[in-house]
Amino acid sequence: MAEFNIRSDAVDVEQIMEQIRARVREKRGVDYTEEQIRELANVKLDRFLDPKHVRSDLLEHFRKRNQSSDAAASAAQTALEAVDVPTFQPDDVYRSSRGGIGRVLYAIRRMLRPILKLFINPGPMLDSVRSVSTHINTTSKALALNEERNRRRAELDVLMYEVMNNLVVEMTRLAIDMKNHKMRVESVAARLDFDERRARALEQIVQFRTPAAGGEDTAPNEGSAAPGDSSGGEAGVTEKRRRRRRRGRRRSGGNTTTTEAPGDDAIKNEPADASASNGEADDAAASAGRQTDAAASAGRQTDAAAESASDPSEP
Amino acid sequence: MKLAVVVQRYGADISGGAELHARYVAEHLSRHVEVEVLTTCARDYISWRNELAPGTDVVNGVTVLRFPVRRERDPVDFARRSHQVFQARHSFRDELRWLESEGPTAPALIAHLRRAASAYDFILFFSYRYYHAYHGIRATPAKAVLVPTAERDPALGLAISARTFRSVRALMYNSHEERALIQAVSGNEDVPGVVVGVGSEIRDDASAARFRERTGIAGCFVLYVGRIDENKGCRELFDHFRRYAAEVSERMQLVLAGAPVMEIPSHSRIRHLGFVTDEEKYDALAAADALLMPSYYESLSMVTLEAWAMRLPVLTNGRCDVLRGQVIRANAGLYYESYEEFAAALHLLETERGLRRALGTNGRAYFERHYTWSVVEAKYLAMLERLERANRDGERPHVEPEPGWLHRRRRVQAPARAIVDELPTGPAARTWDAGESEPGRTTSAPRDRR
Repeated sequence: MAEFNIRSDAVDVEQIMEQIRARVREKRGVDYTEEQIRELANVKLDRFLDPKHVRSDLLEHFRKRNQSSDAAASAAQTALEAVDVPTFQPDDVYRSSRGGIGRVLYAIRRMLRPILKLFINPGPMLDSVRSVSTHINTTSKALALNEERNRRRAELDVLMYEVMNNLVVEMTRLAIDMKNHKMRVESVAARLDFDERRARALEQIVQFRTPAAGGEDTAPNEGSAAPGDSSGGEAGVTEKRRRRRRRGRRRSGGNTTTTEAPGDDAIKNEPADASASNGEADDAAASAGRQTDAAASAGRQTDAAAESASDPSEP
Repeated sequence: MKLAVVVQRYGADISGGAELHARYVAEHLSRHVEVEVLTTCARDYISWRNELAPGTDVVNGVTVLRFPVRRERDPVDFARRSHQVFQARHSFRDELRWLESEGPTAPALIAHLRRAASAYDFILFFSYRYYHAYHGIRATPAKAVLVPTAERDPALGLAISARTFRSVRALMYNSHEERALIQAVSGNEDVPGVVVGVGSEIRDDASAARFRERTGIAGCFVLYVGRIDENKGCRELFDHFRRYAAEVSERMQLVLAGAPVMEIPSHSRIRHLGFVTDEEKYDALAAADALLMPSYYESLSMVTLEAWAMRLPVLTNGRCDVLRGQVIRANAGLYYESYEEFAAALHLLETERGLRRALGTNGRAYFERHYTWSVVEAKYLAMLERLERANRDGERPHVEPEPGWLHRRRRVQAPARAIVDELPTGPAARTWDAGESEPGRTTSAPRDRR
């Protein structure tokens, strides 16, 4: 967890919060609050996600669609509730709702029905009214079923919305995380590259120190630069070594050139300078060792190389 | 001097924030001036059902006059009207109907105020958003002093609320943030106002050992006191704490004290004590390592002040302007806006004992400077004296005329929620003195606009 520098005798809440925020920022790369992430998820998805696959205004559309369908459903329900259709019977047209008088009226109307039939034929009309009534009843039942289905659907929609919302927020969060991690990887790779180059340079300096410490009699530790070669064709060897060094410098990620140091003329001619630069290199290696693990391992390698180079028992 | 305190509910067993505030203020001011409380017969703030007998009553030595509520709240009608005025363009008349629908509709109380206004020197109204405050202030503008208890909720954006804030003689604010909000929404900078809040009675006999013995809770814990409600930020608190317990700390516990209105997650390190007495609350505060306040909206958190009085640091929701402002001014707690900040801040409070002690000490000093009863009473009395002097000098309040018949019906009022969303956010002042020196203006730039 975080390490904070808190002095309990002079507490400043805002300063502590700044430290906390800095720590959180450092931990996750960019300081986005939950609210900002949500905002990004709603508005700026195209900056982080592939707009071909996820619509940035997806949630807004979903919400609008949901609201309009809710409104339509509630309007339909209102219309449905307003219609109250009793089951229609052909006899109903003769009935009356006036209690005892109504029954008398009903009887009179029934008696006069044959006279009515002299003027019009109410049969087909009553049949069609009855069929309309039956149809309305069937439709009402279907609508009720539909309503139930809509209700379930609405419940599902709420869940879907929740899932979709979380999905989009999480996608945004992951996209931001990925971006941060990419940046971190790049930064670590750059540091690693730098450390490698630093380690190579330190190893070279140690190799430079070897002849200065052991003198010309010190045997080189690599078979490719045997003592006999130095007496036989010094100019040719020197030329060859210079070429290798140049190649080595050009190839930044190449192998170390440890075979060059023992026979280097420049080193032989300027031992004092070489020793001075070795001293600086030791200090640098020690300080680098304190600073980073990588540099420390480079420092350890340097010491080991120096020991092996100065040990007379080494072949 | 005779003072009337008008509040929607009143009683020794009624523990809502504004109601408790009103009772404490009435009881403390009654030591200096004659106080009479005018209230309704309701006990339940949702239905406003008449449950107490109308007439005169005495509560803790203070005379209380109760008036019946004409009709209970119809939740469906109230929800419909709330949607209309908060979300849509609407008329002034719609707002008045919303107010009536919200209740507690007690015309007898307003009639009494009109009739007996001359018997009181000043009338102290609590909670701006209810029927009694709007109509009571319209009936007695020359004597009305308002304790708004406002928070960032949509009712603040209504035109009737702005009129209320402009139509009183003085305002007794709970915090600098509340004052900044009200001034931003109503432009009432010329109305006298002072940040007062409310005092607390701290028990000297609070005992951590007694709490641990009674509850069997050992080890370190953070405490939440209040209604366990999603609206109070408890769901987020549970999510954060469960994650913290899984990822960061193996010993920290969360102890909850209060009535639950949501499900409390089953977790080995979350303990629920239920409703606690005052003695148990102070024992818990004495034993806790920190107080948690996850609420998004507060006009003044009394339990935060009590925690500071008990030298306890607080960890608050940084998205609540008032809590964040209070923590910064008191220098007595930390705040969070995300899980990462919650975890880092809580871990800091858990591991840094020196920091806890320093924050607690700052909290105690802040409480003693601003929230002891002697300070609060003195501020009330000073304001009343100031108004009395102004009366003698012939000052009269500016009373806005009622809108005309046509104006009341024109749909020209913007949705209240949209207005509130546009208000500036963030702490209003970094120190108490800075907030006092420039009344009406924020000393720190608002953080953003929501």
